[in-house]
Amino acid sequence: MDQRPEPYAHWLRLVGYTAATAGVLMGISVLIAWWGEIDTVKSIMPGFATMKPNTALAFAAAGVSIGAAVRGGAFHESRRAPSRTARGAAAVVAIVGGATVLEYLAGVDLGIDQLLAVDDGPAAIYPGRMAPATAAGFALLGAALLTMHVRTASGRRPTQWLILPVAANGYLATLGYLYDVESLYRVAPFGSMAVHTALLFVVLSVGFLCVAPDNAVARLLIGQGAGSLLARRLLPAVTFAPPLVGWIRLAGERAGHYGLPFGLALFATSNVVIFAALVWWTARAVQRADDDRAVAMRELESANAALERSNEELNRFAYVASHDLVAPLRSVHGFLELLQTEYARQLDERARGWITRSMEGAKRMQVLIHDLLSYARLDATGAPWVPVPLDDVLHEACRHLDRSIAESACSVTADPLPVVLGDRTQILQLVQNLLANALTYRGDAVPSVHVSSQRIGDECTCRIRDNGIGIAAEHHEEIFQLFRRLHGRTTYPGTGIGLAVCRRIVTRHGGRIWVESAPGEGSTFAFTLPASTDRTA
Amino acid sequence: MTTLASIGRPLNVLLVEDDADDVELTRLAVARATSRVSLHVVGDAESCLAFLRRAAEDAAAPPTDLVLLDLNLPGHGGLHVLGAITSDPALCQLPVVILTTSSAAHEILAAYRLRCSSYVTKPFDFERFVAVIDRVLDYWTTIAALPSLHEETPTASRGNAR
Repeated sequence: MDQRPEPYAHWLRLVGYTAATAGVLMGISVLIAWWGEIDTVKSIMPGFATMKPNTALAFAAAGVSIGAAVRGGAFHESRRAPSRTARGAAAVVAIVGGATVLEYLAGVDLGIDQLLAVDDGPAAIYPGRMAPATAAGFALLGAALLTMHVRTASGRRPTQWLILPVAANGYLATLGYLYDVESLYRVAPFGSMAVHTALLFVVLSVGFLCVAPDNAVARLLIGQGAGSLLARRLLPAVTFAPPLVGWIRLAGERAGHYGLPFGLALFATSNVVIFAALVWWTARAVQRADDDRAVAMRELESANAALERSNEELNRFAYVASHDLVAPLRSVHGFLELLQTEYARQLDERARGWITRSMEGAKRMQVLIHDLLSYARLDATGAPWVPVPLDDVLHEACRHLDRSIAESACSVTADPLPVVLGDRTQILQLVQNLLANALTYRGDAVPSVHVSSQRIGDECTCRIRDNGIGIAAEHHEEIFQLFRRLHGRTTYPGTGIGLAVCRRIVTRHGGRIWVESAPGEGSTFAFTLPASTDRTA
Repeated sequence: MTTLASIGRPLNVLLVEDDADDVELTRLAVARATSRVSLHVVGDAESCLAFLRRAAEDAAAPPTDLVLLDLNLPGHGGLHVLGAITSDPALCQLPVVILTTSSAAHEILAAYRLRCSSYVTKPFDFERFVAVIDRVLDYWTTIAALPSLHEETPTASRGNAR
């Protein structure tokens, strides 16, 4: 059911769910640990800071919020506000974080610190209260989750950047634990951020980025270009490799295996090796993608050249056909005409009839060649698009058809028509062909044609309604095909090209053409054309 | 003003046309025209230019009053012939009427850019073709002032111009 234009998009979904699950599970586990007095879950290592009950609650809520946002389709329709669950849970996160920040800043005790469980750990200034950095992290995370669908007029999403300090904060505190640097996870004299709190902030920040696939980071990660490939391969390594190498170096140094200079050399060499390998691997992939693109480009260029050649050939063919096919036909017709006029007395009725038929055949073929050429030339003779008032076009078409309009005593009426955008000659031909059809396929009643139009957005739909013989539904599509005729030549004249020309003209203008009709009930031919914007109303 | 009609000489027309059927039809149409016409026919570009240059050099030869030029000629096309006539100082005063089946916009423009006198598309029906030919010939016989009636005798220097 899901439309996934990017092949890596489902990874984002997976990571989002994983982060959400981690938040929920860890939050609930820690809460249970508080109620069940399980110290290892509260602080992971003896002597480390505990994750406070409110922190656990906020993590569980953040996990629910991210999970609901991923599930609720914020992922695919990022303009949509997150679901009620997602927003409710995000509000919990923001309130817990915000209230605690308020407590620190205003120096008040709102009585929320030990609401869920009593902190009976080592004496602290504020028992049960999370670290200031943790509180700030939740306030920002909650705000980011609540406002992630907000966009500026230019489509940017400024609130997504709220997550950056959260991620940096968690990352720094994690490093503090890894390297045993207390100042990175503790702002004296207040309590410390727990080690699993720090890690969860990093995990949830990553999860947050996965909720909205059109944020800058996620878009880069799931894209298909060379830049995305680079980001996918390098970003995780850049984030995690140096701290790990640094930790190994520090551990070795502290264990007394080597001194500072050797440690630094080890650190530098390891990073160089890791990144050189990574860059080599990535560069090769980018190079391959580049080569593929160059090949595709060449193929495109040659296809384009072939197309231009064939277009040129079509033009040449059209010209040759217009002259070389018509010239002999003209001779045939001319001599037959001479036979008919000069030798009328020597010929009997039968012979004169045959001559007349031959002349009609030649004449028909000339019309056919002419119509076929005008069809073939449609693409080649495209003029630049200009605003075309349909009123003018209709008047001109009527003027060209005034003889058949007068002969059939047809009444042509029209609503005020809009200005469309296109090739004027072709639009005139379109309207004239449809009008001519309405006159040709008339029924027993006095023919009447009405033209109306409707503008929807950037598009005008024009309808030409007649009271003619109508068309059965099964023919509604095929009548637009080249040479497709529903009636014998003797019943209704025509070459079967007119509607094919109409369809080609409309298609060239990015529109559609169709017919609404039933036998005996007249036909309405409708087509769409781009509306002109500079309508002087 | 002196026109052919006023001096009673037939209009000397050079028809440049390669297709025998077209030549025949044009002959028949010219015969039905009201103007008195003496028609000479050549079938390709080279013989057309050769004929015109010979006539230009030979004072005794009857002057050509009008060229009816088909565009679709073998070898060099009709436009080439038109260009050769209009760029030749000895021939450039000749009225050249394009008479062709083509109504392609680029050919019409090209012909006028080479300064043809007019561009006429042959109608499909013979009856209408006769009418068109009649009016064209009548115009050059009774209305237009022909350069061939106002020429000084050709000098040796002009004869050697090309």
